[in-house]
Amino acid sequence: MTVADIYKTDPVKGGPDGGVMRRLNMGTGILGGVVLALIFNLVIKELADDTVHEVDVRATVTMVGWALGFMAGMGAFTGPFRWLVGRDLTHADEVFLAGKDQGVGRYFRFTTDHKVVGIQYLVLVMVMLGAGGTMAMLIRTDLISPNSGFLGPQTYNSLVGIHGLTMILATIIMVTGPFGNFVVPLMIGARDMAFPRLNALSLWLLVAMLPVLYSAAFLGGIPMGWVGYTPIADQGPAGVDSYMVAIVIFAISTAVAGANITTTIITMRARGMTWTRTPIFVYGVMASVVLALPAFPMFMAAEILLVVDRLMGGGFYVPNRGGQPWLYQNLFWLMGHPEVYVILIPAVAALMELTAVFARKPLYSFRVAVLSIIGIVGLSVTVWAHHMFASGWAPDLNGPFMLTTEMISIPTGGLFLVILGTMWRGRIWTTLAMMCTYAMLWNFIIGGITGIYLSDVPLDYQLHGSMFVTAHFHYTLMGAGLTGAIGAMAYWFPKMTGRMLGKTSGFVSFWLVQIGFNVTFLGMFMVGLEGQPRRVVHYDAAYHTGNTISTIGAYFIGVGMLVLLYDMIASWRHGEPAPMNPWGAKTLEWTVPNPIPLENFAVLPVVTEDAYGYGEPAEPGPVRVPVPAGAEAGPEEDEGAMA
Amino acid sequence: MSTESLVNKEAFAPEEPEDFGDRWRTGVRLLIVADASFVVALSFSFLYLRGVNTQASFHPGGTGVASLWWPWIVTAVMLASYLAYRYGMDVHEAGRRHFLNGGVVALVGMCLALVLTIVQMYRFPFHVSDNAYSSAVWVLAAGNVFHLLITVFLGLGIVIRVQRRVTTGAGDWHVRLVGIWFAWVCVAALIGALTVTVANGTVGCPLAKDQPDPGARSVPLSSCSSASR
Repeated sequence: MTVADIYKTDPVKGGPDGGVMRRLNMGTGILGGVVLALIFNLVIKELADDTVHEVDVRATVTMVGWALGFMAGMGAFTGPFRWLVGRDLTHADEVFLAGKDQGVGRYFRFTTDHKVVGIQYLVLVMVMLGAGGTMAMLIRTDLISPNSGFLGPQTYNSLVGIHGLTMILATIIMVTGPFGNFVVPLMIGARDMAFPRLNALSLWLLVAMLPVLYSAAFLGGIPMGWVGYTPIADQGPAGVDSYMVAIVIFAISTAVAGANITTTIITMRARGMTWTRTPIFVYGVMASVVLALPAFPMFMAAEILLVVDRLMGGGFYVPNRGGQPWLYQNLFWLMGHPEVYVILIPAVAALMELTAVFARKPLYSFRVAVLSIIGIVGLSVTVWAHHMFASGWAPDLNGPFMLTTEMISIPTGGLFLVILGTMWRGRIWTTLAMMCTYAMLWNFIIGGITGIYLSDVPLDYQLHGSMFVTAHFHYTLMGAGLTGAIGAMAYWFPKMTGRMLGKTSGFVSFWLVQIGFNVTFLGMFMVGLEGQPRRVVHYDAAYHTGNTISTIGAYFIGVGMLVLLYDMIASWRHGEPAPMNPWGAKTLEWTVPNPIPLENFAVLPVVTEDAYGYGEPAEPGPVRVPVPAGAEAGPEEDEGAMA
Repeated sequence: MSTESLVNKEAFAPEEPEDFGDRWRTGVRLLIVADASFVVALSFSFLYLRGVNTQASFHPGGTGVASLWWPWIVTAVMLASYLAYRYGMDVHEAGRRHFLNGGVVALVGMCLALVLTIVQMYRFPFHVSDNAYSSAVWVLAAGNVFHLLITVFLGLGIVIRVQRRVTTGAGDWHVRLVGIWFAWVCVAALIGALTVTVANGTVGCPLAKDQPDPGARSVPLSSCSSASR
């Protein structure tokens, strides 16, 4: 039985089965992208020949052609087109799109099953983190001595920009992408996401974005760092065009994913799953995407205005035409600071979720956790200008923005208290996932407190643009965010792959990464406090020791990540088969068998208690027994309750 | 958009077409939130640049100011189209095609608004690269074109579907969903028109001699900065 078997189509309304749609895959996507990119390039060459902005126009239009052609080749436009002509996809087409009986091939198609999309996201994130991490190793190698000459200034500058952007984009999707897609529908007792085709669309847009982003390396790089500040961006090489197009594609993907995930959570929770019975991870994911929904269009708008400046000679950011670089900074940071919490909240929520499981205790003060998340979401849109203290924009507002920024530490502290309270006097089962909780607490304390330093206006004037800032945001985004994502991966790996993650190599990786991380970025704090500026290829000899320490630490991180990668791949292929519920957790995703049937639940669950009833006497009542995938489903009244 | 093909009409699944409709409505509203953020960002950019007026060059003169008639005419046509759409929804009956009475008019109206916006952009008495003012006005109009292209796509789709009786019923959620979008693009056009109008009071200098837009407004020379070209 499949999702499409359950939701039967009306044969009168459907169009004919099959067609070219079934032959589309990643190969045809690449082909379509290359062909349309070439066509666009040739056409625009004729139209924009000898104009002032010819290079930028050609580069941008070619990249847009690639993205459109790739998505068309993947079949992303089939559904909308058939809707337009009134010949909807048929039941058989929907089954095909869901990936039924397609084996590994479904991972290379426009597959709509949320579990496939979740795995695709996981692989995509790993690829992006691998690429960004490799660039980080190159950067750190260059910085091992004051004038190493390992990278030229141009290459170094470009690498710093592309590394930053890759990592930011990867960390934004690293929890909500893989786990928000794979786990959340299971966790809320749904059969799929609200809009399966939009789900696939959001994923494949990101795949289309990657070549655009990395084409920057061959088009002069991104000289203005990941923030893309003007006026450098206005004057930069064609690599900036890659940056603009990549951001626009990413923003569209984020909006689509945000609407989809939010709708799924609001409208598709199982019967009985009230908001007080909804797992905290679901709150974390929803907070993240709700925050991203209005934030990223601001960033997209900033890039659209930059497109007008660069391709048409517009005056948005050019002062002698009445433009203003502060406009870019405002639009950017209106996205940029909420984005920090887009990354952090779901990662910390995942750790809260698993801490209750491994401490065998109810989540300490569920309401404080929810209120803290809401508080962070609310305050995060009022703090953006603390990134602009040193820019000279609206000095009268420095005080209010300092206040709101410092206030945000209060709900953030609430999340700490929830985790600490949950662990307090618990009999903790020390797994790799749980160790990530310990590491997150340590790292995020350092990242958070240094963040309060930086929100303080006088201190920010001193530290702005220094390596201290670089160390601070790595402590939050990597030390807390990425560590949380690794914890989530270790926790849900058995459900996602049907295999247990290897223990020994997991622990080896953990210690290598965490020791290396602290060595790297404590060293960076040191040189930052001494005054070393960031994004500078050659530095004063006085900072040599700190940089050498940081580089050695970075190599530890690199080796640790490789061990983790090996562990994941080896476990995925040959690992010990995972039982249905290896951790004895109480949330719904652990009630479905491995491998998970296409429709997730043969019988839709009914929730009768909260998800964290560990250590509480069992209430008499119906216990939900997982039904084999092929079993005939009964009427809803016969469904059991969640155990 | 064709989740209707997944709708279960039988007893097992608890979901009815209207449940799908509710879900889509939530999704569309959320996408509109994202789009609204984008529209507000464009409007903010216009007002911010005008407010800061960097180097007195937001509109230093030498080129004209966009006619205020055009955005309001386009907005009025869009609003009329939306009302026609609503009329189509009101008179629609299950199994019939009465919706087309208003739906086709709405579609034609949105197409007209699209053409008018493009004509408006051709007739701007400035080039996009002249100054921040011209860039900002141009981008607001381009944003409207983008909205109208999507609207025409959706309007055409819903007319074809009703004409082919794929989408039936007085309150069919496809029809209502497209109606939400129609309403939103009208609001977006209104925001654009208001932005240009509110900000227009203090900008503008003598028109170029070959001013192509008879509706474009001229302002006294005294209000122009010394940086006028």
